Amino acid sequence: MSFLFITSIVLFSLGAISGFFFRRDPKAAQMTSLGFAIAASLAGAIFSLSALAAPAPFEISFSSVFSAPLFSFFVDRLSAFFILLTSAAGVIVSIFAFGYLAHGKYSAARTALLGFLYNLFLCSMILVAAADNIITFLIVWELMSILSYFLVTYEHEKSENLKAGFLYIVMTQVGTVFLMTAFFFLFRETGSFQFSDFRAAGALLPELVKNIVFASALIGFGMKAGLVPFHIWLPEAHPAAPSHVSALMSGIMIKIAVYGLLRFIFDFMGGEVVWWWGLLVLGAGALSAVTGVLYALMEHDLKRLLAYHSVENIGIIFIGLGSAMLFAAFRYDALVGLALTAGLFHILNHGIFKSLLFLGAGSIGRAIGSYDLEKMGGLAKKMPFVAVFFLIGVMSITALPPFNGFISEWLVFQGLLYNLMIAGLAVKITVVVSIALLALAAALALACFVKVFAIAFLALPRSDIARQAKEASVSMRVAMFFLAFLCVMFGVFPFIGLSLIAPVIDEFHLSNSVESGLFFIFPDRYLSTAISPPAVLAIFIGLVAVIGVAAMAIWGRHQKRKSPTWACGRAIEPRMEYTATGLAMPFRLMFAGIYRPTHNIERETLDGTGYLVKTVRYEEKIEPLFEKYIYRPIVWAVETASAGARKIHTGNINLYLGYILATLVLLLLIFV
Amino acid sequence: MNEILSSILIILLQAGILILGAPLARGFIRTLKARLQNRKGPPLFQSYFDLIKLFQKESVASHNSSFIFQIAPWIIFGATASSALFLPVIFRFSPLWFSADIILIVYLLALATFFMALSGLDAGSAFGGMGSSREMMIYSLSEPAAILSIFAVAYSAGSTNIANIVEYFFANPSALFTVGNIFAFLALFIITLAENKRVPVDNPATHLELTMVHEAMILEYSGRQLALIEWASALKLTIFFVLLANIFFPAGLIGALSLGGILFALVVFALKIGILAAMVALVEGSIAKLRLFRLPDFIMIAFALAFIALISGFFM
Amino acid sequence: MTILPILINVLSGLMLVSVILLISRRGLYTCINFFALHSALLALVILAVAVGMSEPHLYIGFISTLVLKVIIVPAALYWMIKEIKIKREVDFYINTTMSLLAAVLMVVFSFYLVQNISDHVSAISETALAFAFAMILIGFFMVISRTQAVTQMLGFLIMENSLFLLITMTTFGIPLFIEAGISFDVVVALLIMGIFLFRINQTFAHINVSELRGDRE
Repeated sequence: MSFLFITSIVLFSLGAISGFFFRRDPKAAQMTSLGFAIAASLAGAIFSLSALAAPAPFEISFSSVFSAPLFSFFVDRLSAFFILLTSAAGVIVSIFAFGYLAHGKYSAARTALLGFLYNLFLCSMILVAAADNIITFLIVWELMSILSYFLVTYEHEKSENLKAGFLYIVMTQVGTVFLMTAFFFLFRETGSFQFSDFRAAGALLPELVKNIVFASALIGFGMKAGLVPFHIWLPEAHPAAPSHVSALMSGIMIKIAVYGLLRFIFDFMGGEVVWWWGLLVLGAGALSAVTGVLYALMEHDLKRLLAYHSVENIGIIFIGLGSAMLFAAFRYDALVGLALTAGLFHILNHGIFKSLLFLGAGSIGRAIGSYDLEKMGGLAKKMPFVAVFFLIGVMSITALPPFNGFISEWLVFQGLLYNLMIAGLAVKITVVVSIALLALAAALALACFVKVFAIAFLALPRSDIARQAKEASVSMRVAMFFLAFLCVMFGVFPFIGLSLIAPVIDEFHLSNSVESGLFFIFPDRYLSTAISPPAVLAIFIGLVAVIGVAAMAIWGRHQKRKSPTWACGRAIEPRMEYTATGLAMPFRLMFAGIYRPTHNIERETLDGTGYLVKTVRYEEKIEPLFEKYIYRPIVWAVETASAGARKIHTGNINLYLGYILATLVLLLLIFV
Repeated sequence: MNEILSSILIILLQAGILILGAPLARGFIRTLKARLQNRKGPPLFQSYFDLIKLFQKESVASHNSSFIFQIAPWIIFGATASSALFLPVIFRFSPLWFSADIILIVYLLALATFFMALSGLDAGSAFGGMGSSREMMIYSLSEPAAILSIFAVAYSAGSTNIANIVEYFFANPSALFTVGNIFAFLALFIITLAENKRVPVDNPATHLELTMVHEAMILEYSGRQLALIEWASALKLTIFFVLLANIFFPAGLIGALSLGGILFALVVFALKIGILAAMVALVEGSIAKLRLFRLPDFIMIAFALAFIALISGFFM
Repeated sequence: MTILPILINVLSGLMLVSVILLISRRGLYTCINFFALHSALLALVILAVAVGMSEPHLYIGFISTLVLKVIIVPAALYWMIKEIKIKREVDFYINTTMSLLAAVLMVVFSFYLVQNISDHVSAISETALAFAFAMILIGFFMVISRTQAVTQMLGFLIMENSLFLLITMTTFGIPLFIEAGISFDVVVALLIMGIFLFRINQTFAHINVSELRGDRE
């Protein structure tokens, strides 16, 4: 089926340029580019499914086409898993985009540009997962970054989008430098650009080089994934892009970074993990989880909030990864598979439900023109389909049974429980702290999404734009339905998702502890911990049915009536409702030590007497800690150094010629 | 045939005792508290009379509310009752326990909390919003402590599965009296008070703005829907009691189906729940309700105890 | 022999619980009550060791601890509070959450210490040893983090109790002389602290130690 891989790339390329053929008709430009994207993604999905099932990996190398081995692609099961994720998301998000982009506000040229960027972006993500060679990898990695930069700044009318894009591209470039460092050391030790050669030599690297490679890879990929403390670009960049692109960025692109790290650790290093690597990753993951959700609680812009939750979930994925690395380092080989399964399943699940949530946010944004939570309200009555799908997404991300988020979080907890068996005080204490932080993050996420769903969808609309909201168009609903369906399916029948992951674990020659059948999953075949989601669902439905029928039999039909809400004798108004800020207030007070909010109160009085107050204005600002204490000083240092270095630019040609002479003399002195 | 029959009987008995007996536990606490305060208090079975009355009445919903308001009571009841089926009541085993995981139970209860908080905000009244906001605050504080104390128990038993834990403690009774277990028990007791909104976290008997968390969220409910929610909250309290009683003191759980055994186990079970209920009543009667923002201090005690419980297991 | 370590573990664990509850409460009377509980549990530990290791002179230790630290010292403290009309709430430098986290940290540290010295020291129960260390540290922490002299005194008394526990664990029942010396030491310390309290109160009309810093000139 390897021809499908090439077909997919060709279709993506066609989709990219197809838009430009329709100079007059933006609609046609859009439909063709999206159509090609769907076809290409479908091809990619089928290809990756067959690659997962196939016993031997696919190798597609263009070294025969170009004389030097410049472009070579190698799709093993790990790559196939990520290609599947990307392609499936590509199909569904493209379907969504039909309705989302149908507003027709942009000219044909601009629409064609979006089609170009979108198709190539999807293609580049697939190529990153398939790259087999340092040069190929770096080229498509940079391509992915640049394309996503243009997508982030697509709506360039708003200056904050431009700022967000700038921050994003700077952080990405810094990350790429670290990646290049890691690759450089691997090249130096093995003398080759091919990944296949690293596999053999990676395990034999000297200790220091190994640590440098790991650290550089962690920082480089961590920056792209949004790991704390490298996450500051995520809440700026993801909201700036159009919503369907945000879904792809949050759902897929940050996972491609995790793919990179997985490739480094489990493939190149051959699973020879140094013990403190696992601790570092585990600690960073736990910290990300809590930081992401703490700042998400304080956000009232829906897309920024979702972006912070991506930081949180990357944290959970890294917790699973760190857990696996600890097992690998201490030779609990049977359990590495468990923790890795947990991490990979969470990657899959997060891709699904985060996309669902961003698509929902996109629907809301399209319906009311704003993403501000404080302006929403009562949307459940105006947009019932979106409400139901969004609710499923919310219940999945907060890990409530019977949805898919619960299964992967349960597996992560199981991994952490078995981590406690590892000897060594430092390990045990770190694991215990990680468990506590994970539990805290999960609970805070529940609180945050209560806020999101309740303020956006329930009670009365808080503004005129919310009052005029209309249901989302068909294609948007269809796309969200698919994702919601996947959430339910992977939650009630997790073996379907786990069967996609088992081949990946097999490939690393790890014994897969997670055994899943139609009705159960066993995290470790040697102990009998298990859960059975279908059984739980059956019990739930059974009990509700029994009580409902019994009540009806004994006491007759359930009578219902509607009446206005009691508001102490007045008619209820939207101003009486709880606001998002109000719901988050207890958390703001409890965690004030972390948030360090600054307050500002302004009172305007009549006649300047100071007693008859006309207006009171209360402003509270929370500046994220990492920005204040880490990044601002770094930026200040860089700017000061640059300003100092600028002094040698005097604009005087004679001086510049003098510099050249001085350098020449110096070089002659040194080398002669 | 006999196997299937006895399995069904075990499930029905345990479920029946727990679900049907839950209001009794709450009534017992109320009566005991009243007696401690030198009052006569309502009759022991008052909760049942209340439920029966509420089931017959009509439910009124706000114009502003959405489908969440209608489905929430059923989901809350269903989630809480489902988790009740995975607990040891009088038997040491149950055919359902292949799926009885403590983390599953915690998250099923979280499902109920989630819908309760949503329904509080659905009517658009400020009381409900306030209740939901406070509920989420208390919940997020108590979760880490609850998970850590569960892990303390699971670590010594080697698994989070209820059947495995019960079997482990039956096989190693001396493991019950370790420091870790005692600390975990105390931590879980404080969490019980916090999650079920008893004094000093919340006062279940008042309807004043100052002292409402749970009552604020369910303020808008009436009739059959309110009956389901009240039943679910009584059930949640009983579930916590069962966890405290039968995980930490599994004596009295029988292994086989026999009439004498069942009666014996019932008596022991009632005794254990009664003692726990008495402890709650005592605490409620002697401590004043804490100010809302003093609650983190209180729940942190549970967190500290749970943390020590888990690490003391490493050094034995 | 095997039931003794379990019993001592349980009792010393309960002692740690009472210390944790003590550092988190704001009512002064509650704190004194928890101290009384702490001392009562210590007395029970001494009794257990007396019975388990058949050291009859420890019965005297049991009685003296019971009388002295469970009855007399709390009563003396109550009387002092009433006489000086000390305010009945505790003031902290470090808030409750931080204090509890610090206490947890000290427990972890004590476990680590005991694990490292366990080859060189034999004790009736290592867990109880770790808890004793932890309580000494927590008592010291209380002295540092509280502003009022009475609560600092309580911290010191807890350190005293925990030291007693520590000694009992490692010496398997201390000789009568040392025990008598320690009890006498406590009485004298209490007397001196009481006198100081009265003098401080007379001079400054309060016993808030943080405000004494102004006297540095």
